[in-house]
Amino acid sequence: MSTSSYNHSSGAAAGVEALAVAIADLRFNWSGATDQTLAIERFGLRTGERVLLRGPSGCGKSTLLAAMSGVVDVPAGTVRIAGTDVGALPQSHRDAFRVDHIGLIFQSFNLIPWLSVRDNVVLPCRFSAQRRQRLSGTPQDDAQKLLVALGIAEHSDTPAGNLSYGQQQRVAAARALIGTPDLILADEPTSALDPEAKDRFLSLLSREAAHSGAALLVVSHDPGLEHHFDRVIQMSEINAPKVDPC
Amino acid sequence: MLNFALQSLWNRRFVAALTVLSIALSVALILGVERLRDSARASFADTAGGIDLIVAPRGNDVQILLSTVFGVGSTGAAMRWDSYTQIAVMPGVGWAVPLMMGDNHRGYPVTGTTAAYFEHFRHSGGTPLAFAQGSTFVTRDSAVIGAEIATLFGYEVGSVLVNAHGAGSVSFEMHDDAPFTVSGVLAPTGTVVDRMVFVTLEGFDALHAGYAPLAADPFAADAPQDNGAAYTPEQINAVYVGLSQRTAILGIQRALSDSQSEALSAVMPNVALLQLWSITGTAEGALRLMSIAVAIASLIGMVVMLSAALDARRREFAILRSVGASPRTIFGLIVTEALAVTAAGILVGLVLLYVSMTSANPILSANFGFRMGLHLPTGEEMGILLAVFCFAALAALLPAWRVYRMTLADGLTTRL
Ligand SMILES: Nc1ncnc2c1ncn2[C@@H]1O[C@H](COP(=O)(O)OP(=O)(O)OP(=O)(O)O)[C@@H](O)[C@H]1O
Ligand SMILES: [Mg+2]
Repeated sequence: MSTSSYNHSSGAAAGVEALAVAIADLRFNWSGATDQTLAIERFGLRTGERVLLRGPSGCGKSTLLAAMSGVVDVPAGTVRIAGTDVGALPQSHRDAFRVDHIGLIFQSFNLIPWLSVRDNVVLPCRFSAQRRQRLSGTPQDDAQKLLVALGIAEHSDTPAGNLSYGQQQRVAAARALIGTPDLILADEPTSALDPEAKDRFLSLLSREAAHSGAALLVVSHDPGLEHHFDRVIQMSEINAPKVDPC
Repeated sequence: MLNFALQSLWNRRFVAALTVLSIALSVALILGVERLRDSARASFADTAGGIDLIVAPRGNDVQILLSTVFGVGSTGAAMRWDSYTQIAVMPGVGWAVPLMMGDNHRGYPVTGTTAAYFEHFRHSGGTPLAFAQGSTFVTRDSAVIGAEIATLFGYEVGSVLVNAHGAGSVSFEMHDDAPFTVSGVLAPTGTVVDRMVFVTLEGFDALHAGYAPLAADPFAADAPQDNGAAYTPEQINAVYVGLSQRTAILGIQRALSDSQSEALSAVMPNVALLQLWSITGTAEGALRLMSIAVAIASLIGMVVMLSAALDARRREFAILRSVGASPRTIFGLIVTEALAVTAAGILVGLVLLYVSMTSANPILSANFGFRMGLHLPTGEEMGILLAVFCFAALAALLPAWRVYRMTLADGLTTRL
């Protein structure tokens, strides 16, 4: 398959290496569901690019993120992350692949409440040699640096469950960023935060993603956050599922 | 992984501690029952091991053994002294010691016998009795006491004992008129002998005859040094026999059963013990079954603890999967937790076992004359512990399999 065909949004002729995400001809149905959830012709994310993904509820944004992170089965050749065909990976390799290349942030409850903030942040390093290799120091040192950058360094030793939601989301951001993965996927990371905290969180996340060079894809319904991103995409622009005409 | 499992358990330490405790209790129970049984058997065998035959008025073998060697239960009828003298000269008989029983001193059995007893009695695989203090009977009012009696009541050579009639611990009829003076204290044997008081045959008879002993003062200048060896009582309760020829047993048994003068039994202690164990075997089996049931219940408790937490921990598993843990890793986490809980339960159980054995030993030794060995777990016990551990691992597969399915199905998208 030609690599240039993934180059959807930019005129620059970027190779596979320069693409964090490349999707082509992705069709996806939830098992048992008659309606198609995903039907994406082309979608790509350049390395280091920061994109905001929007769309109405139920249009398949979370499903798209699940497809990218290898949580749901996708056909081979449809989704490439950092040059690797996720659909072609055997089930048993996907968890390792995910942690090697992707940092994930959920809407809420991202942390293991009884682990300290720092231990939560270093979790990916426990499971991924690649993430460990890309550290600049020990996992603890790198975690501490990220926590300083995100303004929660003084809570490093607190159990994560004791932090406020806003603080917890920043810890989750630190965990997604540690060991510089190729891609950070955040599914409505700010929906539990107040407007001021939303803005501060996204500016921190965006800044640190740029700093580490990771591509960033954020799903959010919140208005007024566009200025943190290079690009804003509506789900309807890329996804055209056939709806069962019955 | 182990570290993570331990931290997760620590987070649920209350429930985890209860589970550990229930496993510990069952482990202590299983091993405790085995040790109690083995120690009791070993102690009984040790005590009776040196006696080849017990001759007593005809009766149940087990009852004769218990009443003569262990001072448990009453000795029933008496046998004639003549029978003793006849037995003593039978071919193949190496030694014969006459015994009179049925008295107690402060609840501990008193035996009337001769100095030959201390010479011939063997315990714990052939060890003869030794005197820690003093010696055998010196007068007919002498008493020799077991090690435990000495420590319990603070007796030493020269102490004066007053016996009470009857084999119970409470007695109304005190024999104030027949005091005994301790002539010797036996070294500890770890058997029922430690809890016995021995007096001369004459002294024993004196208790019942009710006459004031002549030599109340053993140091009276003119008193003859008569240690009662020449005394012949009318009746005795039993005779211990040691054989010079093992094959003589059958001849002696036949001679006794053919005897016209008196109905006597010749009991082989080891055979009677086997009979006793076959009687108690049912109860032991029931106890063992019960302790196994407790162990199974506690392992089920552990499965319940792990399973009940699974739903609450869905988020934890989803987070772990998002940072690269595979469903298999999480499966391993649950098994690790189960094994950690079981290992802790086994360790605490061993501590519990030794603590309870240490505290039960004085009671056992006071009431039954034996102690449980505080030795390290034997190979067999290690086998039992290993079996508990393996069963725990097996039982853990159930919640682990559930969590495996759950994490596969949930992926990263658990909604709370
Ligand atoms: N685990 C699942 N099993 C079956 N169907 C699912 C599952 N998750 C989502 N769906 C279906 O897929 C469709 C898209 O859901 P998805 O969660 O991707 O939407 P979304 O755009 O993230 O919506 P929202 O903005 O509310 O989060 C919905 O119709 C939903 O019912
Ligand atoms: Mg969603």
